[in-house]
Amino acid sequence: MIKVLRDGRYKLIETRQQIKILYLDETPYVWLFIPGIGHVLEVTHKPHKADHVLATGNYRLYAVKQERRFSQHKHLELFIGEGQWQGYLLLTALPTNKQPRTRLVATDETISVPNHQR
Amino acid sequence: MPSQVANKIERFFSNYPLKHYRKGELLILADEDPKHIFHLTTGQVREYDISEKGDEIVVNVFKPPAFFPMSWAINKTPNRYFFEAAADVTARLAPPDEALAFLKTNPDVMFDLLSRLYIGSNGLLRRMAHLMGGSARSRLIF
Repeated sequence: MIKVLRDGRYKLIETRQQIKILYLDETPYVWLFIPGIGHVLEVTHKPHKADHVLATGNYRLYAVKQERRFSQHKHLELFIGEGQWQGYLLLTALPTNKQPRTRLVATDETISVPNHQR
Repeated sequence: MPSQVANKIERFFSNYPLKHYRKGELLILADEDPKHIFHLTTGQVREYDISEKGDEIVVNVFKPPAFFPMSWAINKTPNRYFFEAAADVTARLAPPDEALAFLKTNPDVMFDLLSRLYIGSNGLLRRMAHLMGGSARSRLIF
């Protein structure tokens, strides 16, 4: 089963303090790299001023269960241009106030790109 | 759709299991050979492509009592589209071969499908003509 949980526009910015913030629509998440753990998304409630924009485009968030072609996780896919999407596996769901951090792992699996476009 | 045809379709698909899909669930992935013909009993299904720019382009919205994907079933053309439940959906799932045999042995159902296909293709041609030569207003409307 593959379900589209959310889709919309994302923006990845970097602040002057070199902190990356990922906006999914209007919702910001801090994108951290923690040595020994890896990439992590974390809830944030503070305003973040962009020093520069790293990427922007469409995103799609899928839930995958019992599909042999795709890992059984939430899949966050970010459009990166020229028909390409970068996929990330969210090891839990998107971070929330109750569970403020989520690990994300880059993956080659992309649901949004049909084979005929690869 | 004439009620006699609708009843025939209903009767045929009632032999097959009813399945529920939640809003957002993908019934068929692009480039996937569907395993069934879906006969919608409730809800709506969007058929769309994702463009090179990453945008979703809706090409069709199915409502009850539609059954799909017939282009793939009849011509075995590869399916290029995503089929997503636009609301909670229930559908009966029939094997493609049996659905085709049903069409071939029921000319009134086949004729109705052909009629709906022509309505759809006329709409597409009209839309294409407006996109190619219409004003900004008509491009938006169609």
